[in-house]
Amino acid sequence: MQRWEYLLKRLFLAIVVLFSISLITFFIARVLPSDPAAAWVGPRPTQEQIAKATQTLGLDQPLYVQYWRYLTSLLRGDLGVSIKSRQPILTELKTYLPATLELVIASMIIGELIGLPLGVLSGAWKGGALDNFSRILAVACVSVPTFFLGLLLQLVFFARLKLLPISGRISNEIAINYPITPITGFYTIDTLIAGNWPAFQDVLLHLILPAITLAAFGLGLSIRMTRASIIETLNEKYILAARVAGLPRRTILFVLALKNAIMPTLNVIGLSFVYSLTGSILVEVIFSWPGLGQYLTNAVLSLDFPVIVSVTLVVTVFYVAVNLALDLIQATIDPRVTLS
Amino acid sequence: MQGAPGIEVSPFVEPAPAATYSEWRLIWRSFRQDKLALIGLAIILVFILGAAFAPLLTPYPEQGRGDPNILEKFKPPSAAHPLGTDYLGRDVLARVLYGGRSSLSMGFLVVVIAVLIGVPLGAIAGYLGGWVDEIIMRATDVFMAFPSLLLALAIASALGAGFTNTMIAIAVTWWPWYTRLVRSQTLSLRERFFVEAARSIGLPGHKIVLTHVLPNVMTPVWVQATLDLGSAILISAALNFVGLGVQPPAADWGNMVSQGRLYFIDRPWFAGAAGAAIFLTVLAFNFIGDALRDAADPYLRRT
Repeated sequence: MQRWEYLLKRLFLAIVVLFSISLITFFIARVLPSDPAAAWVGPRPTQEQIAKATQTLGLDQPLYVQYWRYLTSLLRGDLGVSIKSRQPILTELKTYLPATLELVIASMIIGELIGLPLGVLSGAWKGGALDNFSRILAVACVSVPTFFLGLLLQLVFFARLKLLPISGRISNEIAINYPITPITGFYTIDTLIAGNWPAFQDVLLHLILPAITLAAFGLGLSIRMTRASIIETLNEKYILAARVAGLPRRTILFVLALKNAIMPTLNVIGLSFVYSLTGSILVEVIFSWPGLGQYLTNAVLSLDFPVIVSVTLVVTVFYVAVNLALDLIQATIDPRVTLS
Repeated sequence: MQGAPGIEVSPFVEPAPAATYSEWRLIWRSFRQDKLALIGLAIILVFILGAAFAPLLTPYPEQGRGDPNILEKFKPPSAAHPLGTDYLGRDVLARVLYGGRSSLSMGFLVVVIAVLIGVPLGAIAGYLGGWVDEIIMRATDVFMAFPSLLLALAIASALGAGFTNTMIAIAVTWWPWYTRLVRSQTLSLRERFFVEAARSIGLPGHKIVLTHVLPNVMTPVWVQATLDLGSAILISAALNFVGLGVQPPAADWGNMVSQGRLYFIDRPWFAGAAGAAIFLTVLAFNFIGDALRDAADPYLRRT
């Protein structure tokens, strides 16, 4: 198969998947709930209010008409209106999304910075002390419930050691005295651009605990998968040849072997992005982080279906896009991908 | 090795070991070498027995079911209450035992339902091929495109909170993995001689799938299912933590952490006990799953 042919096919599949996703979110929002119109009106609705809501929401139309309306408004970028706040969901998402992305990216950096080298080293010295340690660390990381780890870290680093703030993105005093002008919505970047050092420090301190909590799962995954792929690569003949040629172990490990283990690594990064994105839902609750997760869990408690479904949709679109990007990168790096 | 009574074993034909030892017995022989896995098995047994016999094990079964006991709230661990009492004065040990009933059975049932949906679909897709295969596989693509926690959360909140609805919601996000697994196994089985033989004597398709294909794909399915139990319990706990799933006053490890988290800094024992229970269970299942996968590896590669 030609490379461009593969790329086109992959792109086409992604579009089909996106349409099917909209079908499912439509189903969840409009068909599954017992009475969407009553939910729209709020508690103790009158008969008239329900009738009116049924009409405004178009619930009296046949399903395919409803879906068509839903799809066309989605394509226009209209995600509907929150039941609770009566604000357009898109506007609300714009304020929450950067907070979540900042947390997710920070956690991925932490996870990969520790996970990759640890995976390489424990794969290289299989069965050694470091390998045993990182095996236990990895299993513990993927087994601990995110929300419980968050609580434990708060207990240790806030309550006992008094080193780090317990929750939020920024302290109140700092937010008042050194206000942040939002440019990207990423507080760390915004404060850097403005040269706002006191706020930058404060924001960074607030980021540490939630980012570490969120990083745990990806870290465990990354250690395990990097280790496995390094062990596999080290058994290859070209590594033996390099050793026979007397190349230093460092070069063999971190240049020759890691280069070939880069594909599984890309997969790990994709996977941990997804886990971080969904894990952030729980982390944000624990750390009162004003992002998508808080928005979503509040919506769950107040049965705000349009918000629940929109957040699901947006995160899933992110997920599909990241996976597509990874596949395309892999196809560009490694010609073997397009052959299969 | 002795032949069964009444059956003469010819001295010239040595019975093949593979016929006398079943696959699972061989897997068990290698599995039991793994100390961590055995510890995991012990932990799981303790939690399952604890949940099953909860009414006999605790002097406070009514508190385990949810009755408040306000006079004794926030008591730290003591002889009367080994794990302390929670914000309504309920014995935390009783809550953990009763919570295990919900948490363990939800995780377990999620996997069972996902297997029941996913395995037949995978066998059908792999055996029939063509447009049926295409439709089923594209459906798995779509469901796997969603992050599972998020999809389960959306479905569960649309269905309404509760044990059954949440369990169904998680299972709906889980089945595609088994479909993919079984399909790929079925594809390779379809070309094997015994299936071709069954076809050639005119056995109908559904009988071939039921009697010849499915029994041969179940070993990898059960291995995968065991591997998944930990994540299923983790995701159930997460949904319970968010407020879906079992509703108060009933206990679940997830909602216990959620109720205790606001008091955690000063009184960590009740959210801590539930969180530790989830952690230990998932850890144990991961030990078991890893050992099982290693032990079963030669048998998984066979097909």
